[in-house]
Amino acid sequence: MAVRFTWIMALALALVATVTFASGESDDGAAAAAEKEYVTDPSTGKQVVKPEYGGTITGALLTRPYDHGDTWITHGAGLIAGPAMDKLGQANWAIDRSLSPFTTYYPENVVTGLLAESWENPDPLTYRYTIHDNVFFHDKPPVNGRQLTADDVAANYERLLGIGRFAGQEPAAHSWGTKRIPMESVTAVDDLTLEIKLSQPYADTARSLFDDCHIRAYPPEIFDSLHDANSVIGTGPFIMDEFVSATSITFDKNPNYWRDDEKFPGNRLPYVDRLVFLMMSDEATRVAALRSGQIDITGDLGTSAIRSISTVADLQERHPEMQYWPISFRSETSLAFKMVEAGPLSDVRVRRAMQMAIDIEAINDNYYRGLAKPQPWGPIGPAWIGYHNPFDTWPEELKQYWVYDPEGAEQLLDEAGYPRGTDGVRFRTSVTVNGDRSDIGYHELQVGYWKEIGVEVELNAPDNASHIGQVSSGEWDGLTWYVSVGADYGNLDGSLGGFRAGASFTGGAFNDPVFDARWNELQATTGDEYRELAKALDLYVVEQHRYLWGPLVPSFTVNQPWLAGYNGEMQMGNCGWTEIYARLWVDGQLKDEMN
Amino acid sequence: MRTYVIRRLLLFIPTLLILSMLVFFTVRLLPGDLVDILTAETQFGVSSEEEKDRLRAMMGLDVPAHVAYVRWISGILLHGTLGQSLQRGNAPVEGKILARVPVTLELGAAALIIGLVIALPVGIYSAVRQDSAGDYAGRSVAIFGLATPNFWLGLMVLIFPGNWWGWAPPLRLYPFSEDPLAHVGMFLIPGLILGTYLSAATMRMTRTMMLEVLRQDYVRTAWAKGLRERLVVVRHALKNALIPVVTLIGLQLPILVGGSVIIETLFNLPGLGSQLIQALSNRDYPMVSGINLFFATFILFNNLVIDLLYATLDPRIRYQ
Repeated sequence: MAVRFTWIMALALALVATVTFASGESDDGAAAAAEKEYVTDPSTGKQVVKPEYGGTITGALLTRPYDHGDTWITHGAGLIAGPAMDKLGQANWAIDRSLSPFTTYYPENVVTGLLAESWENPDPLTYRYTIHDNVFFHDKPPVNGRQLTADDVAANYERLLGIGRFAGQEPAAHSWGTKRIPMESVTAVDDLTLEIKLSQPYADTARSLFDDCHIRAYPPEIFDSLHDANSVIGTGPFIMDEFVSATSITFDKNPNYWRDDEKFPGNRLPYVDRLVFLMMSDEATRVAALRSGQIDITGDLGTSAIRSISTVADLQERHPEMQYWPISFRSETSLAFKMVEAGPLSDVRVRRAMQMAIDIEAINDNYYRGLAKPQPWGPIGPAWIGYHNPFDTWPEELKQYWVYDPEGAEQLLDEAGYPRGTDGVRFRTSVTVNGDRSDIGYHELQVGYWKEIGVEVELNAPDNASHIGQVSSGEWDGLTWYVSVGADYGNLDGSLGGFRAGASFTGGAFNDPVFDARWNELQATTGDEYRELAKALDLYVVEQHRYLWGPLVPSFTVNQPWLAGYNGEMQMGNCGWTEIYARLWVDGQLKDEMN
Repeated sequence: MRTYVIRRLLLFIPTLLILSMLVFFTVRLLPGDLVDILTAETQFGVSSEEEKDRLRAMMGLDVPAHVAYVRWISGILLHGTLGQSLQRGNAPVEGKILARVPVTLELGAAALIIGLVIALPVGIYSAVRQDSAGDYAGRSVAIFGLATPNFWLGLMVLIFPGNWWGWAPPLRLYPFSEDPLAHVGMFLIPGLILGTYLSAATMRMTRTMMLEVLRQDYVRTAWAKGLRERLVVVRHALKNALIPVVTLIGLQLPILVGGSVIIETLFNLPGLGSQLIQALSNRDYPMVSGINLFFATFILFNNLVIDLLYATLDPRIRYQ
């Protein structure tokens, strides 16, 4: 009896204690919630929890071939070393970029100074930058926190381009952007003034010089060890702690960082103490890590973003508290026609008919749950403001060939001399897409639509490397996924220039003398004339129907609700993906409550 | 015995030579190389063929495959090096392999231990209690284990617990020195998944062999002597029944190695399997060839060890 009484008393006490502590926590939580301060994000006008310091952000990255050799070699440097580095300029963090996160390519209003405090362009061939006088390298050997000088920046340009003190050496930059700049010399006029001379005017110079993927201020003392990411030293908000290939990258806060948050002046960056990137190549792994709170965010430049629309829909249903940011990075449904001198695809009417056979609106509504952008555009994407030709502005006689009209398609094929045979087939061709990256389901739908108009298409889907190898060597026929068509950010040199003869990725797919002549004419101009010629050339590609538009399907960046300060931006500037993290903070109270 | 071992080791030489050719040339038959990938990913059609050729020369991809093979095999034979990875820092392949071997070995050990811990008791129980409900349950689970691909099981473990309870296995590997519990915990679930497959076949083999041995005269004699069941089963029957089981476990090691390729990727384990996938995707030829050769050598030695184990388990076996 006594034992039973003791048990009853113990249980009663436990119950009382539980209720007391539970209600106590609730009261505390309510009080804390009441005390929680909010501020207005000046870029969006939205209320956001007041920035706070401390904590760790853990994100997911993909392992990519980018980390080949020298960190300069590709824009992988932006992923690996980004948080530790600064550039002369960057995208303006303080303006709203939520509508089109790819604001890298807004030439005029987005790029702003970072290391460069001021700049001038006294003549078309001269650019002069003044570096901030309070910028110091990380306090690590061999530089031990010394001040950044204009000569350090000059050395980086010279190394990239193989000029000046690096003349006669192979340029370190192998990638797009930097090498196209017709740079004659770069000189440190004094400790803080940098002067760049061009050999000829170049339309994209201001952005290219300021915000190129590769022009990051590494100290010359570490040039010889840049192959080792662990040796990276910069002036950036984070200090490289450890790079473990294909596993993780860890950064610690730079306690001596020199810059304030552009949105909240007075708040010295960065907010968090530690930044961890886990390399997660499988989407299911990233989603599991997100669901279980093991990572705070996934999605960078569409690489670690979640690509499966159904996965995102499921996540949204089960985790409405998370934040979802659609990223219309590049169209992986659009295809390029191989340019041939004979056969069905040499006839623009056939190319138009193949476009008109596909009901993109219906596919978007039913297959992509209305999340894709069905309306086509030319090679120059909408993020390139002032150069982009919106569909609404296209001539009516062109528009008709870019909308669903199966009867019209059949009529065009008849006119082109491809009537249905006894088996109902007009002609046969093939599509080669990327088995790792393309949406095979979409392409199967395409094949079905083409069958309706009597075009029999064989669908091939080799893995990524095989596809790239086939395409770049020209070992493909018919149509293939072409990386730059349909990109939101599709720019002049990459996307439009990709249609010129000899552009490597297309493997000789195009050889249009008219286009090439107009391209060369474009290169010789600047300013408004350049803009108008570029727009006209963009429409020429549309008119020739060199590519087949597919809906631009978003992938999604997803973050935990406690990660604050983020509005779905993808870059701080050209290749500036991971720099964003210095400007985000962790709502510690919310995180504690939810975990 | 010594002669047998020496003869087996000598046989390794032609075997490995043929294997080295297979692993070297087959990966080069695949279309595309790292330069194609790098330029396509980053340049959007603006790199020249000259530049690509220059990159290929930098990476040693500008020579015919047979010349590259001679260089590679000479490096192995004369300098003991498997070449340089085409990726970051052109690090020596053997260094990268050695850095990742511990993770794969830990996963393999976890799978083996878990597999045996499940398989042996269940197999013995099923044999001793033949046709009981427990026997049927054990055999059903074994068939399920055999029929279920481990990558599918891995995906299910990642997806459904997350959906239902917001739980996922640990996906970040901490060094053992930093957090031993978290380190070991990282291997539990992937080890269980790989071990499930291993246990299924082992359990069935254990059951079959135990049934056979339990019907032998000497076991009947042991029962007749009035020995306790535990003694009869463990001391008299099990040791003899285990000989083919050991063979089976040895034969399953290659399956374990193959399984680790997918499981390591799914569970974010930085082992040799995930390294192989990355190297293959990036057409890092030296790394792919090096890892495959490493696996092949490991399996050859494993088979030798299994053969030698027979003699320990069954003194009647003699090697000529």
